Parts: sequence; structure tokens; C-alpha cells
Amino acid sequence: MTPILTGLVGIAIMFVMLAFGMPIGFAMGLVGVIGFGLLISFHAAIIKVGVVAFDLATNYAIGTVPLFLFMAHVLFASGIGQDLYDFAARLLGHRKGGLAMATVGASAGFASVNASSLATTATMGLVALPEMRKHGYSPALSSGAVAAGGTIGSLIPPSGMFIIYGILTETSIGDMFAAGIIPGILLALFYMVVIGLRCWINPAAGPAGPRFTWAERLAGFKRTADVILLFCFVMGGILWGWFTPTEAGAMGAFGALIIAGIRGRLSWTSIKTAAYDTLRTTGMIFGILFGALVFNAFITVTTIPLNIVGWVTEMSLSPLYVLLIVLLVYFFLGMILDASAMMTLTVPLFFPLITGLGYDAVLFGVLVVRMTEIALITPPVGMNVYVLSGVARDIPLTTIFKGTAPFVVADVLHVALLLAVPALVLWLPSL
Amino acid sequence: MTAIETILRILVRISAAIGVASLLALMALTVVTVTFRAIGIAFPGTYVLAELLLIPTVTFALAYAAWEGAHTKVELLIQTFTKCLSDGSNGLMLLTGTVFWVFVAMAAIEEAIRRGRQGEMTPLLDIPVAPFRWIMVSAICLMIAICLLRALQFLTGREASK
Repeated sequence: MTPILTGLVGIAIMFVMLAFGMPIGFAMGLVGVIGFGLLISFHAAIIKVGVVAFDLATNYAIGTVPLFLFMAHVLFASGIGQDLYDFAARLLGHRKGGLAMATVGASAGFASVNASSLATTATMGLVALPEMRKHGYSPALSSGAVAAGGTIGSLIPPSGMFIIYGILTETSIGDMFAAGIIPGILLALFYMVVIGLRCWINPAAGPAGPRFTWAERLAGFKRTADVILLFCFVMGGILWGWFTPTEAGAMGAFGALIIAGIRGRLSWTSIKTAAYDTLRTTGMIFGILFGALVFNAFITVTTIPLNIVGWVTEMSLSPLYVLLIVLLVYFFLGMILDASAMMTLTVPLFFPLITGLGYDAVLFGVLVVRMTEIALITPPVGMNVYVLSGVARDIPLTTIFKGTAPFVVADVLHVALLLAVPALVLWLPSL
Repeated sequence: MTAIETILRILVRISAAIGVASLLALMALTVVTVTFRAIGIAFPGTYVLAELLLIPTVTFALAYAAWEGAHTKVELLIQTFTKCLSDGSNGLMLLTGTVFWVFVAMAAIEEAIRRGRQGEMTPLLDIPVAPFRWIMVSAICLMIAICLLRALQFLTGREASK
């Protein structure tokens, strides 16, 4: 069997195993190690696995994962999600659709201290959804805003998906973090425009709420100022070279403990819960990463990526056209695979192709993360929708998916804008 | 099976506690390093120490995630199965997938023995690496044991105790 055929058979077997419930990292690792063994030798495969495992477990850069996760879990325990939403609601709630806009704004704010889209969705589902429903918002608009707002979580640093991409492609995690800030803020604005348009077409979907005085708004801001400062310190530190992303994670986690202490929400139980949640999520991410790196090694020896590059070169397609095809593949893959699986499976295949065509690794990373995030709100897998459905059991899944549809249109426009103006992504990392 | 589960639960508690302690130590070490560096005092070798601390954090996290059933899977197809069929599928797939971790354990043991014989030490601080390699081996073996237990529980239709 040729290496390419071995690779294709391996990928097919892996998809079957994934479909029947094998954990993603296990399936990728198993196919990777057996495929590598068949193509090179099983002794070489064992050596490769040993080297990959130890290198991954002792890579200083990967300290970013547990440390930023710990920061997020500590801040989550200190109730920051509620405070951010209260502040945004005081600022925007008096407008038509204002509470939905506030949800999007609070999601962006919460994402700045949280590495996960799903956690952002779950938190905002608990905090913002009851408020919007109390004020007579339509279930489609309110649930759509929460589910879509959650996807901002992967763009605004610290982002788990950026860390995974950085490790898989050896791209600077600090650059990835910096690259996500402007697109993340823009996405929040895009979503707010969508909400505004929906409420302009159908004012009953998002009635105006009560207006707050500037003194009340300032009081709301004061309750979130500590977290905003922490975000600026952590990201500023990375951007200005005060510390590495791993060190930023440690400083952020330590700062989060101080903030939780000042807020009077630091107890033995909350630290313990945050630490064990961090451990569980870290294990989950590394379970995938271990498998993905072994799978990556297998895919490299199959020469499939090289052949894709050769095939695309022979077809003389324009780089933009190729990139659009790749993004389209992501869009459809997102309908059947979850975000982490999609990224770890496809990046080894597409990364050499896209960077070979002259696209920046950071730009491609941001686009990939965008596509994996769109997958979180498109049927049938749409994990954000399922998470939200678990929080708001009386809203049917179909209603939430209908609610997210206009946001998917905004997502597509947002990706188009990033493609048209790459400086939006690449300017901050270049500073 | 209950006795095995009890033993594993105790081992997971101990290993998770070590993982959490390593995480907190990693945070404290890094904060101290950054703070002192800011005032012009550098401690050589703190990166090496941080890398060593990552080993228990990451590998015990893997075992803990396995115990909690947190390793990500795609459930689009199996959620359409009956409970009996989905349990069978989950059990069989977990059992098969564990073979990967057996490879990882074999590789880690081989490396630990080989490097141990060479007297592997860290740069700068000259700390022996062997104990950390064996920590990694033990964490992966614990994870394999947990996966086997969970697979058997799926296949025999028993619920994992909380």
C-alpha cells in the first residue's frame, strides 16, 4: 500500500472510530501510531511517541494552558460574569435590543478572562437569558445572541483554540493572542449591528429596557474595573514584551486570586473547585494534543500534505481561491465535527498548503479559529446551542438555531472582511 | 469491580492532589520569577524547574480527565443509539482507544529506563530527571487502568459511581 493510500485509509478509519464514540485524542493517536508503525517501523513509532509525549509534557510554552484556565476558573468563581453583564446592561439596556447587545458585549468581556466559548455561553445563558426573557425578548433573539456571543470567546485572548493552534503549528501563542483582539471586538460590533437590524425590522423581538443614570452606570463599571485592569495588564505584558504568554498566564492566575480575595469570594472551596476544574479541562485538552501530535507525525510521513500542495500548484488556482475552498471545507466539516476535532484533524493537512501559498500563519490561525467557532452555532452539531439548550430547557433547539442564523451571516461577512483587510489581524502582532 | 474502582478512586484523588499542587507551585514559581526579574534579580534555572513541574500537572490531568469522563468525543451518531447499543459502542471504542495509551506508556517506560541509565540531569540545576519520567509513566498507567475500568463498566452496563 502506498503511503498516501495508507494515510487515506487511516483517516477513514479514524472518522469511523470517532463516529462510534472514541475520544478524539485516542482515535488520532491510535491511527497515528499504527500508521507510523506501518510506514516506518513500530520501533520507530514507539520512539516517536515517547519523544512527542515527553516534549509536550515539558514544553514551557504549554504552561499557558493550565495557567490561563486557572485564571478563568478563579474569576468565574468570583462571579465576574454577572458583573460584566450588569455593567453592559446598564449601558445599553435602554435601547431596542439593548439587552441582547449587552449580552454580546458582556460575552466579549467575559471572553477576555476565559479561554472557552462553551463556558462563555453557559455563563451568559445563566446570567443574561433570564433577564432578556423577563423583559419580553423573543426566545429566538435572546438565545441566538447568547449562543453567538459565546463564539467571541475564542477570538479574544486568552483563547484555548489559539493555544492549540500555536502548539500544533509552532506559531507564537503571543502573536495569536494579539491577532485575535481586533477581530474579536469587530465581531462583537457585527453582532450588535445584527441585533439592531433585527429589532428595527421587528421591534417586538427586543423591547427597550429601563434607562440607568450615569451614576448607576459608573457604579456598574467600578464592579468590573478590576477585571478590565487585569486583562490590560496580562495582554499589555505580552504585547510589550514584559513577559511570555506562560508568564502572563501565571500573573493572570495570581491576579485573579487577588481579585477574588478583594471581592470576598475567595474560599478554600472556590480555590479547590477552580483548581480541579482546571485539572479536568487541562487533561481534556492534552488528551487531544497528545493524539494530534502523533497523528501529525503520521500525516507528514504519508506525504499527503506535500501532495495536496503539489496538486493545488498543478491546478494553478489563485491563492485566494484555494483559501476560500479550505474555508468552505471548514464550514461543512463544522456541521459534523466539534471545534477541537476539526482543528486538530485538518491543520496538519492544510497548514503547509496555505502557508506555502504565502498566507501568514497567524492570519490562517485566526481564520481557522473563526471557522471552528461558526461551527459552534450551525446545525446539527452546534455545541454552543446544545450547551445553551441545557441551560434553557424550555427553548427548543430549532428556535435557538433559527436565532443564530442571522449571526452566521454576520460571521461570514466578518471572515470576508478579515480576508479583505488582513491588517485587522496582523497589525497588533507586528507591533 | 467495585473494589478496583475504590482503589482507583483513592489513587486518582492522590494524583489529582499532586497535579493541583504542581499547578499552584508552577504559578507561584513563575510569579516570583517575573516579579524579581522586574527589579533586576534573576534566578537561573527557574524555566527548568517550571518544565519539570509541568510533567505532574499535565499527566495527572490526563488521568483525572479520564476518571471524570471528560475526554472529548463526537456524539452525533451514538446519541441516536439505544442506551444498550451506545454503551456497547462507547465501551468498545474506549477499550480500543486505550491501546494508544499503552503505546505511550511503553515508550515512556523505555525512555525512562534508557535515560535513567545515562544519569539524565537537568541543565543549570543538575536535578535528576528520572523521577519525573517515572511520574509520567505512573500517571499514564493510572489513566490506562481508569480507561479499562470505564470501558468494562460501559460494556457490562454498570454506572460509574460518583
